[in-house]
Amino acid sequence: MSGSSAATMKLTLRIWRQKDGKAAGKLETYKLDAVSPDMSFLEMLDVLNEQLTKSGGDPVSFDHDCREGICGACSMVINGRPHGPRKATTTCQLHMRSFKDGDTITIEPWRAAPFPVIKDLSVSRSSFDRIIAAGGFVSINTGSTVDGNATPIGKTDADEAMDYAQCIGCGACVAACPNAAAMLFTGAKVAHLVKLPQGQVERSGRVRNMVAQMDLEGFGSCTNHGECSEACPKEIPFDAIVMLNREYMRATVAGKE
Amino acid sequence: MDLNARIPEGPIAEKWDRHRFEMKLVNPANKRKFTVIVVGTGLAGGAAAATLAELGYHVDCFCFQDSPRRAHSIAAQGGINAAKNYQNDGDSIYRLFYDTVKGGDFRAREANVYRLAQVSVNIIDQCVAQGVPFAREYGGTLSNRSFGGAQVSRTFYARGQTGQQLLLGAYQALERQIGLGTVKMYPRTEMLDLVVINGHARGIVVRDLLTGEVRAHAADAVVLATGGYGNVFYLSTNAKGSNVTATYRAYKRGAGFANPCFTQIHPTCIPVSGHYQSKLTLMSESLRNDGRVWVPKQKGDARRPQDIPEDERDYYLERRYPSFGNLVPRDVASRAAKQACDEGRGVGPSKMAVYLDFADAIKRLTQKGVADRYGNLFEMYERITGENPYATPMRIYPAVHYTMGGLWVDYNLMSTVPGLHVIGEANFSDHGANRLGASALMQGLADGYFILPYTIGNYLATAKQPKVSADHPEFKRSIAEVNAQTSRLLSINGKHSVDEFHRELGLVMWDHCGMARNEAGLKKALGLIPEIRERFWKEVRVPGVGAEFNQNLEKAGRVADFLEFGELMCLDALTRDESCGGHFREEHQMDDGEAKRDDERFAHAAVWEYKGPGQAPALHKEQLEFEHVHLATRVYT
Amino acid sequence: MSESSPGRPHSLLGSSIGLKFVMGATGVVLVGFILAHMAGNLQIYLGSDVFNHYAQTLKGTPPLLWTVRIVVLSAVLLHIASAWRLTQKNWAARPQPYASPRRYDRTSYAALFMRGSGLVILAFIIFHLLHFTIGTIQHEHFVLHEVLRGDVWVREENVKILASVPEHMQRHDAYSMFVRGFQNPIIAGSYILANLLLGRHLSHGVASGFATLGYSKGGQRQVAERIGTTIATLVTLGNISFPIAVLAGVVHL
Repeated sequence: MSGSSAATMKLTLRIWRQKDGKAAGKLETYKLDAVSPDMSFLEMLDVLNEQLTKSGGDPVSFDHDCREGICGACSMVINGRPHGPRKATTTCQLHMRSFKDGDTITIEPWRAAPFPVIKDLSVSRSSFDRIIAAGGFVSINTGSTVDGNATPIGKTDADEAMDYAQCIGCGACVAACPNAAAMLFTGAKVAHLVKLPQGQVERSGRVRNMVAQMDLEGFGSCTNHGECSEACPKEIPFDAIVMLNREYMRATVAGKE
Repeated sequence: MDLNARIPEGPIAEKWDRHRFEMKLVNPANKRKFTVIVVGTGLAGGAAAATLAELGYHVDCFCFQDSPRRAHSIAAQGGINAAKNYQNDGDSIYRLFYDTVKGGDFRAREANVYRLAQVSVNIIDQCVAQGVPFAREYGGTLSNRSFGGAQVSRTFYARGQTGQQLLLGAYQALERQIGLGTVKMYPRTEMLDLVVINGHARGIVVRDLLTGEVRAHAADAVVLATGGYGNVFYLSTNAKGSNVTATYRAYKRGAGFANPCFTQIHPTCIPVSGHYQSKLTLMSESLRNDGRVWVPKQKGDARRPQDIPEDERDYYLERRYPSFGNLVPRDVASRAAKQACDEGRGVGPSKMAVYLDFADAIKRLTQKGVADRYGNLFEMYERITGENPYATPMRIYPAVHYTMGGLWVDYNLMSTVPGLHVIGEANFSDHGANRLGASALMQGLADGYFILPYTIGNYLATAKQPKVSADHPEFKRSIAEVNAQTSRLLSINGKHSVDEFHRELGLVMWDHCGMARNEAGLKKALGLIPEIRERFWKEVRVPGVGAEFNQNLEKAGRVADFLEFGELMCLDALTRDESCGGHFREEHQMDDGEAKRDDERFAHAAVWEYKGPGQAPALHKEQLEFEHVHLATRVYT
Repeated sequence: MSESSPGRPHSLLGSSIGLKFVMGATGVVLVGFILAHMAGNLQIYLGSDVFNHYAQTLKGTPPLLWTVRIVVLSAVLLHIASAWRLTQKNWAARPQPYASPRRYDRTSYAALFMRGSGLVILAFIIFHLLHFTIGTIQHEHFVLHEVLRGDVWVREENVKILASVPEHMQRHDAYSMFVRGFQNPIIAGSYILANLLLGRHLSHGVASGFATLGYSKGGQRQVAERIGTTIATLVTLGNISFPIAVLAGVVHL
């Protein structure tokens, strides 16, 4: 099945338009003809924006950068699902062959109080940066290190740390969560570092501070729906949340340092 | 233009140590009185900003992305080189140095490359200490692989996401300093001008992308870590936002631009599928270990690949390079693919692709065996093209993915403007005319963690410039100029989108200043680019206003700079009348089609000085000396 | 202040995870109580003597009775208070809902309607206490007693006789109260409905509790979900068997 031989599609797009953070937004409807199934979802929006620009309209704002599924910039809820219908796929890697001729596609921004809308589909995710700044690191200054092989790390632990470290910080977990919780994001960083010997020294302070910041930002709480890891384009396991809970309990209830 | 590289005296292995001793230091108590601006938060910028803050400087850090974690270093897949010799296979600092100079086709500065190889070992230690989850052996030690044709296993990796993990390490170190208040971070803020006062770089003018406010930031030194300019081709593997604006505007303020024509083409990318194509996706070149590259022997053969019998296929790499076969270096493989397509033997709907066939590998290793090695790449290919590469050969085509040229810097990584330092892909220094695989991450982190934080201290301790504030008339003048350009872009109100002009420029660059270049083509491009630029300034439509979040305006400013920069690239490519590394002039090739260097005339870095609007830039040369790695020809047949 | 050292203001009850621990821990207490409560009530199938003896024993051990009552009541109140606080946080975290309906891929109706099922269960608990513990509802059944004649307990409905029998020779006729109560189809129906919802609440709540308390990593998650389903099924089947058994005449006066 060569995608290029397939016929083009006509689509109806319902896109959230919002002038800025203060204005009220609403869904606007656009018609798009001649959409190739080989286009990426963002290329389809590029085509729409080009049409809008040339016809004197206002193109749709949306965040994007690498367009190869790793930078975490793209962020759209497509037909009620963050990043759209394809599993383990960011919006930029979603292609129009996942849709069919005549479809109506509704596109909205991530919705969460800590992700305020900037314009149209662009939201601010600086709250994630502040969670990391609260403790998502190892306090090691440049140069004050030992040899890379001085501390052996078992392959299983290293691999598991990598599973969690893959998070691209896109925020799909928050967008997917019925409560707009950031537990998977926060848990992924806590779990990544707790699986490594380098993360042990600051283990308790890290989880306490990151959770405190997460709450301060106004994210919701986890009620264990599991929608987050289902929507995660990097398939960060739900275990990250269980580990976050465990680590937080260890640091607070058990009072361990 | 002063092109003194300030290479320290002494044997090459001692230069860096000696230099570190000879450099002036800033008293610890005085460090907090200095403000350093870092623009860009990729591996180089993120590492530098964090390290400078750890040392005690106050840092103002800027990126156009919404978070420093999204810088394009994140997309690097393969790995990072370091001369650790953990595999006991004969690697050494000297060997890494040698390979890098030779791989760069003798167009890099030996002293810088040697230092890069020296600090490579510290990078790995640093990243491990930060919690970067490098791949490990069962015994718990770090795992290595051989990469990009290297004869030793010196590449460290974290699955296929090494760049991401290294960047997150630097990002976390940076966020730690932001939390401590030593770094003030300005995300979604784009640098639009460099401010030079009294001959020294004293600050920048930026546009706050959220509000559109144009404002000035003053400092004691400025560091540019703003990456490469591959997007001058419109289609490249760079992120959509990657641009030349920061370095180009610094060039316009007096920083010399070195070797702009040195670009690297990667042979295994997914081909263009239509006019709407917005970027290209690279697939790891490890695919060439088991895949066989071919095109039909017959021009315009429209049969499906599986219907073309074996004797009507041309496995041209195996035919032309019997000893290296499908594993010839990136530039050789890329040019051969272009040649096959130019002959009319390209495949796929666009005819601008060649097959990378795994049928033999599947026979030899079984489908599962192939999936074990390349499963994630096959999945990515399937996701993008909708084709199953186990059943039908992959289609690949070369694409631009790295630029070796950049702002000229001396041994201290300082440009020709005192106080302006340039690190990572944005500078020209270490890769010469061709970069080896897994060396970009190494250079970014070497500059950011281990070189710039020392050398900038020497500048700050010796420059003795008076403090300036953002109220200085030079800042006001620069703000006015930036605002004038913004108003001008918004007022044209033509009928064409910014992307249309960018695509048009990209096509000219790709056709005439891409994988293969010649005098006639470059001259043609030098005629076409000013013409496109002129139309851009008459016919573009930039919707919206200046005082708002306006992605069209951001893009327009970047493309306006590419439209000038493209011309500089072509001029450099035309002037460099030889072939070397990624710069292939068709007039200069061996009988077998290999690049033919002209060391007599071109063993130098070509550094361009801006002379004003409408004026031809002036060419200056830094002669390169090769005392340790002797000039030799690369042979792959 | 070192950057990740403790010192940032935090308190267990102020944090979202802390409140979730309270939900989980009180949930454990309540599940324990619900299981014990059901197991006790299963004695209804052993006849009125066994059942009324069980009731008499409970009533005759005030320290045990009141400890259980206080612990369970506190657990219920804390469970509700945490739920209320978390609900407020969750609602505040998404002030603007999605314009098109969210499509869920993994969660269950049970999980999405925990608040709804919780509220119905709360109403049921109040009703249940008024019915069987305080006796405001169907007061006429609540006052039923048995008296000791020789060494057998027999039903006695005559108020004057009861008044003349010494305390240690009479006991509450919980069995009759139970049977007569469920003979009313509306009451029986409401108990069935409430327990079906309780089952749904537990099926998510138990598994969720394991995750919240940090005990269901990896494969354990499926185990936790199975435990949740098992407890939910046991409680639902056990509890709804009582009204059904009465209505079907299996358990009768």
